[in-house]
Amino acid sequence: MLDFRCSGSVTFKQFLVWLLFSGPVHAASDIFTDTEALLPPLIDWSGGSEALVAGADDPWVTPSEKSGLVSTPSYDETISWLEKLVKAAPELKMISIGKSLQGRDFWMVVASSDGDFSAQTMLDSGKPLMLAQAGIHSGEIDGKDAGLMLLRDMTVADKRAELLENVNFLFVPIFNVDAHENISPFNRINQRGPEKMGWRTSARNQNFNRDYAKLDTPGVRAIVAVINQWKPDLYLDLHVTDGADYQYDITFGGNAAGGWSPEIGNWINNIYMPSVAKELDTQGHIPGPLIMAANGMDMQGGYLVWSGDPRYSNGYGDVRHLPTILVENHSLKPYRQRVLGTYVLLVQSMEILASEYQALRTAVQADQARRPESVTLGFVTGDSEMSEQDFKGIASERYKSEITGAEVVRWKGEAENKPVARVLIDQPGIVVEKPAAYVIPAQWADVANRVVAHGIDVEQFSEPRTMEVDVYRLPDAKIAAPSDWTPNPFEGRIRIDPGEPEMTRTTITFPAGSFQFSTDQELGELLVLLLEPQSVDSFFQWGFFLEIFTRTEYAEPYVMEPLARKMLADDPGLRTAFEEKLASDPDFASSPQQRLMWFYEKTPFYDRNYLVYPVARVPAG
Amino acid sequence: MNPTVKNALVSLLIMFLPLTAAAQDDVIIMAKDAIHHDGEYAQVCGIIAETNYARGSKGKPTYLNFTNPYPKHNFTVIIWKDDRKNFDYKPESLEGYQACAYGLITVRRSRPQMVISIQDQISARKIETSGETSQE
Repeated sequence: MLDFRCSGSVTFKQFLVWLLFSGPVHAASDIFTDTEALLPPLIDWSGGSEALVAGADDPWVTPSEKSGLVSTPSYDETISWLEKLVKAAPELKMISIGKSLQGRDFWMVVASSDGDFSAQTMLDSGKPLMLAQAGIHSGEIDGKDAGLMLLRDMTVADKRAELLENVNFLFVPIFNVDAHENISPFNRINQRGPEKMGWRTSARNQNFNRDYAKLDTPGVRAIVAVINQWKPDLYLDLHVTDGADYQYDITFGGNAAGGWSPEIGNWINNIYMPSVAKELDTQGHIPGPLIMAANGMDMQGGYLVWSGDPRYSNGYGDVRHLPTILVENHSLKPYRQRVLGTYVLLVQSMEILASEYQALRTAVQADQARRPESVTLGFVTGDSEMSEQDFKGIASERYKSEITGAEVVRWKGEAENKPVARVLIDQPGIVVEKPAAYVIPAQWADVANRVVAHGIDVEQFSEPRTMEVDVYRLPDAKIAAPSDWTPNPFEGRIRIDPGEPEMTRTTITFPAGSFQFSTDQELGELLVLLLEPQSVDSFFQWGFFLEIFTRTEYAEPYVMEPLARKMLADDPGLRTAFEEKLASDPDFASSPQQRLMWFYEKTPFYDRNYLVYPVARVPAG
Repeated sequence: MNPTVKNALVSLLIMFLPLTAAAQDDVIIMAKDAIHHDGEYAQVCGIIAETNYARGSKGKPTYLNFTNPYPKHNFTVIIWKDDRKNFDYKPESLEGYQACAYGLITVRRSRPQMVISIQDQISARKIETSGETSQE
């Protein structure tokens, strides 16, 4: 809009010019606000779950229900409504689990029909416990409005009170609270509602769902503390998709089978998924597996069955043997349909948790007791990974874009059922032998404290300790090349490519205050993934050890040159190697500095810690 | 039931536990090892790192967490609210004490615990740099 304050006075001619040129801008803005024109066509939907919506005259109608489930309330409106509910419902209590960078509380609602509101009493009660969080990406906020309806129905509305008889429930209605208040109708271009929504990343542009391993954000630190304190039996992370169109309105699942918690994976795939899918289907929804188009566009290349790394909630849950379900509502479905599907999923998750609790406990205990001699650092696609699967797709066609010159998919809004390929990402990639323990020297306490924050048991040395250990030298380590998925810098950190590590056995005296972490514990595999430099979510690859890239101390030529001559005279083999290097490497041959450095590296004066990873491995056996 | 009568009955019950008080001295399990003694009557000893009187919870339990605070404790003694009257002192005052508790060890969610109902089931000695005091 023209700023009249700056112009002082405006002539009629200037006003006409403004009118002339402002016209197209107004017209253009329509193409940004007409969601239906922007997004692929819809297939009409109605389902039994629509009966769940409270009437406008219901005293406990939620703010979103009042809007017809087309809008979502602000942080203040949400918390205010919850405070009113908690005041009326003795089964509920609100607990602040931390504060955001902008000073907002991360609220968690504790729901227990027994009034068990402390972590230890709840654990001691023997009742299963479900933790669900909404809005880790705050534009994907369906879970909040579904959760408000469910809390109401389990308490003051007395519609689903039996759920709390069998299961305790922790609910984080808005996880990324600061992002939730960064509100706009333009925050998610690929999504049908709500009318306005929050932003994906925090006030410092950090993605909570890339932070589960490194723990930079107060939000993820808070939820990991909840996991450690309350020890939930089932953890739900409620999202909304981006990407391809298909009929499914709600997709969900654990990490791909064969991951770090195979018994839990079996429970999720064989018990949880069929049960929840069946109930969703009964309620008129169209449940499906987690789907990522393999070609990034449509289903012609099939879809990926993904194993998340520990930076993601589902990968993190898998590696720490916490049954974790990633829920991805389909972004192109209307907000109302997505909220109702989430409600049904939450209810059936509680039902199945109650009825199949013993089987789940058996699975969890089996995975927690695993002590594999080697640990997979990540999963990749294999050679025989493809299988065809019936798929409820949407008909599509491709056209050549005059903008990009490439093909673009156009979704037609018509159901198309046909088999498509499933591409499994479940084959072990890099595998390392597990040491008995890791030692982090006292000077790297910042890293050690993050390991401890994960709930991993630690022994801190009260006095210096001399130990025979294995250490990695990382001669090829460098700043990682950026990619589409992982730019660099990324998430406020410089990502490091570790190259191929070299391992050496040596004796080190660690100072008092150093930290030893045994791998013989429930979270032993998580420990390995945090500390092995070849692990994609290790602290090393997240750039916590940049200091090792600076070589210190220098050799003056007037000292080094005579010493080099003595070294050659003393070692004929060294002379041969030097001559071969001169002959094969012209850059080396033409550089006096490189020549002297070649000798300096072979002296005991050279920086012993240059490119040496400070975290030591205590050999197994 | 009259509290005095109930105390007497509880004391009688304790006397008939599988081990006598004298035998308790011979079977001492450290808190860190209690996990391996599920279903056994024994005397478990260690340092009470944290106490928690959960007034707001069902049964209003008092937790005595050994070695480390919850959730890193390795043994817990539980005293239900109805049994607090069997103690001359507030059980939660034992935080920081070295203590031995006698009773049935059970393991729940991979954590060993013991429910005690009378004061005689626990002896505690305060750890102080300038001497020790005891509550027995």
